[in-house]
Amino acid sequence: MLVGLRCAWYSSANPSWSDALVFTAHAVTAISAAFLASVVEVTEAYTIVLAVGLSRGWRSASAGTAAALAVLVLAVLAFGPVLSLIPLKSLQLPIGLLLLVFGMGWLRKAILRAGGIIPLHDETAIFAKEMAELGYSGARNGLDAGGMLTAFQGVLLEGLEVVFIVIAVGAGHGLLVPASAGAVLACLLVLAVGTLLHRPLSRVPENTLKFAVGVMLSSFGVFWIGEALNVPWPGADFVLVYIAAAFMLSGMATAFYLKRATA
Amino acid sequence: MRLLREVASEIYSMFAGDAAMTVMTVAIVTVAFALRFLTPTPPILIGFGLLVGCLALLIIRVLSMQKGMGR
Repeated sequence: MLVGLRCAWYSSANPSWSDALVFTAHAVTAISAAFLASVVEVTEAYTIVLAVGLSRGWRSASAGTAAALAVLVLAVLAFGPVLSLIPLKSLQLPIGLLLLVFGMGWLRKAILRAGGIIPLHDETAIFAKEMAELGYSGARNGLDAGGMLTAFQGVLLEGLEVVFIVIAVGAGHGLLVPASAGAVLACLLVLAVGTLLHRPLSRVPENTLKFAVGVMLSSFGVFWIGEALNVPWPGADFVLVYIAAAFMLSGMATAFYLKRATA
Repeated sequence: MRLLREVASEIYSMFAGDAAMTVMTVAIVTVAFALRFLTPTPPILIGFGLLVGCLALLIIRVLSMQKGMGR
């Protein structure tokens, strides 16, 4: 808290330093949100692609994945620059509201999972289910339409949330490229680990990551709606730290209460 | 066609997976907007109210889901 106040004081005394600091703070938050959300979603997509690769052949899995990634990249390229053309002030309310609704949805689910009310995401069980559904077609060298479609659908559906996050946190502040870089970095990381292990990445702390992303996006949402309402936030952009702390502590306290109540 | 339906359903669940929470979030933001532009309430109080309202909504929805599961 003291660090935030000192930064707020220092930035008001040095406007150019303040602008750079605010941009850096926004860029770091945008990259982190895109990176962490992508790790969660890419891990889930990887499970499906792995099942397709092992049961229907790697050519089908790769073709389906590449096609879905192309659609997702096109979506970012189509919507991102368009949103950047709209004045930031008119974007703050709609994007803030969407971020708040989406972020609180992730946070709610993460709290319920951490509190033991709904089960944690189990990649090993999902992998086994996918393998059972796909079966073994024998088309290991050629292209298998069913396998390709399953990989395409899995990557596309999991990637939609990443596309939304990249566009929502990136557009307006000119952070589309850093946010996209965060998402690409997560893809490469999961791909590298997956290639090494060749099995579902069940040890990725998906719920903790989901909780963190939920906190970030909800905080961004409240902050942006406040900006649209011309709320003079104390400490200007640094209030994001306090809003995030409020969401994090409330979420952790609620999860702790649920855990004790269900024990 | 099935794929398009799946995409539409995914987008719907992204924002309205818990429809009640979405409606209440929109209601909180609408109230904040009305207070800001229709009343002389200090903006800082509206910002604080917005944050507290969202936190309260989140906790209430989580606890009501816990009760629902317990039945």
